[in-house]
Amino acid sequence: MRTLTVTSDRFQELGRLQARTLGVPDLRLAVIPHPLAGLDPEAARERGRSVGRELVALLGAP
Amino acid sequence: MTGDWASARVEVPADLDAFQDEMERRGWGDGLPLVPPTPERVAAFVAAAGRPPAEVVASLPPTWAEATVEKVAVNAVMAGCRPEHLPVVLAAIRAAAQEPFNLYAVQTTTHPCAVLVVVSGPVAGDLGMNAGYGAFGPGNRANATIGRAVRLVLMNVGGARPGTLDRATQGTPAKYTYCVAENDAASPWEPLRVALGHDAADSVVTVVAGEGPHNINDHGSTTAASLLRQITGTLATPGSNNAYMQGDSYLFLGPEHARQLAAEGLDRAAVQRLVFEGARIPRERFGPGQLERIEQVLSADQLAATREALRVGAGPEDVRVLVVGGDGRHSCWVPTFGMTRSCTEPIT
Repeated sequence: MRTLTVTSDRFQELGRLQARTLGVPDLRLAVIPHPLAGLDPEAARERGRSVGRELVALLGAP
Repeated sequence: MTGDWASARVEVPADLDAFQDEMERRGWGDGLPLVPPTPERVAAFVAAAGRPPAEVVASLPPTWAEATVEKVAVNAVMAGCRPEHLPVVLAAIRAAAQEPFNLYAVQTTTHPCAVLVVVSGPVAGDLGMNAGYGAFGPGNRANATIGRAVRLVLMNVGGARPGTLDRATQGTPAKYTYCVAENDAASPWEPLRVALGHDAADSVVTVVAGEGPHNINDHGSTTAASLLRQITGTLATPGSNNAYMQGDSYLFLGPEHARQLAAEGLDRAAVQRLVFEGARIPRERFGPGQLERIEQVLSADQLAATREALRVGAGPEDVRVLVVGGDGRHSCWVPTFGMTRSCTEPIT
C-alpha cells in the first residue's frame, strides 16, 4: 500500500532527521503550513485544498 | 587513561572566558558557563562509575545517538558534577530511555516538560542531596548538577536543542536543571522506592516528564478532608495535559501536609485514591473549542467516564505521592506531558 507522511513545516526538520535515522531517507514527506490547530473548519478545509494536489502527486510519485 | 575512549579530542582555549565563548559557538551548552571536560576529569568520572567508557547506556532520540558512559561523563563534568554523581546521572539516562517514558516525544514536543530526576534512597544522603527546605530550588551542588547533567546529555547527545529539534513552544526553566530527593525522614509512609517494589536499602532514580511544580498553598485546613479539597482543586486545572492525555503525575507533599493526612489514618494508597476521585475538572471550565478537541481524542469509555467532569489520570495509581521539603504549609503538584509514564532505575 502506498503511504504518505504528512508534517507541518515547523516539524519538517525533525521529520527529515527521523527518516534518515530510521533508514528511509527518501520517505515521501508532505509538508503543510503551520498552524493546523486552532483553525476554524472552513480554514482547515482551505488548508487541505491548498495542499491536496501536492499530496496526490506525492502519492503517485515513484 | 585506559579503555576504549571514543570522544574526539578538541583543542579549546585555556582561558576560561574564551573557552565559554568557544562552547557557545559550538552549541554545546545550555547558556550557563561550563566546566572544561578535560580527558583527566572525564577519566576520573568514568573510574568513579566503575563502567567501561564505551559501554552504551542508551540511544537517545531524536538523533538516536549512543550515550556511552564516556559521553555521559563528559556532560556530567561540563555540568559541574562531582565524580560520585555520575552513577545517578547514568541511572537517570537509563530510566529516560525506557519505552514507556516516550523520550522521543518528550524531547520534541511543543509541551513545556522537562525531565525531573527524583532520587529515593540512601545515596541521596551519601551525596548530600537536599530533600528538605527549598529542595526544588538552588543551593545544593548535587541537586543542581545532576539535573543539569541530564539536560546536557539530552541536548548534546540526544540533539534536542530549543528551536530546532526541541520544538517546545515556550519551554520551561526546569529544563536548566530539575532534580530532587525524597525526604524519607519526614515521610509518614514507606519510601517511594518501596512502594515501587524496591528494598528500602536500595537507591533508585525515577524520571518524570514534568512541568514545573504547581504550588499548593494550604495554611488553613485543620482536617484531612479540607486539605484534600485544596489539593484536588489545584490538580483540577484544565490547562494540563493530564486532564485528557492521562499519564501519571506527581504530588510532592510537604512534610506538614503529609503528617496531617497520615494523622487521620490515611496511607499513601488512600491519599492516591482520594486525590484521584476528588480531582475533577467540570466541563464548563474548559474553553469550548478545546473541550471539543479533547473529546475527539478520548476513547468511548473515557467519554462515558467523563460525562460530568474530566479527571487527572486514568486511576488512583496515576497520582504518585511522596514527601519532599521542609517545614511550612506548601506542597506541589507536577503535571506531566501525559503521553508518558514515569520510569525508575536502580542506581548501581
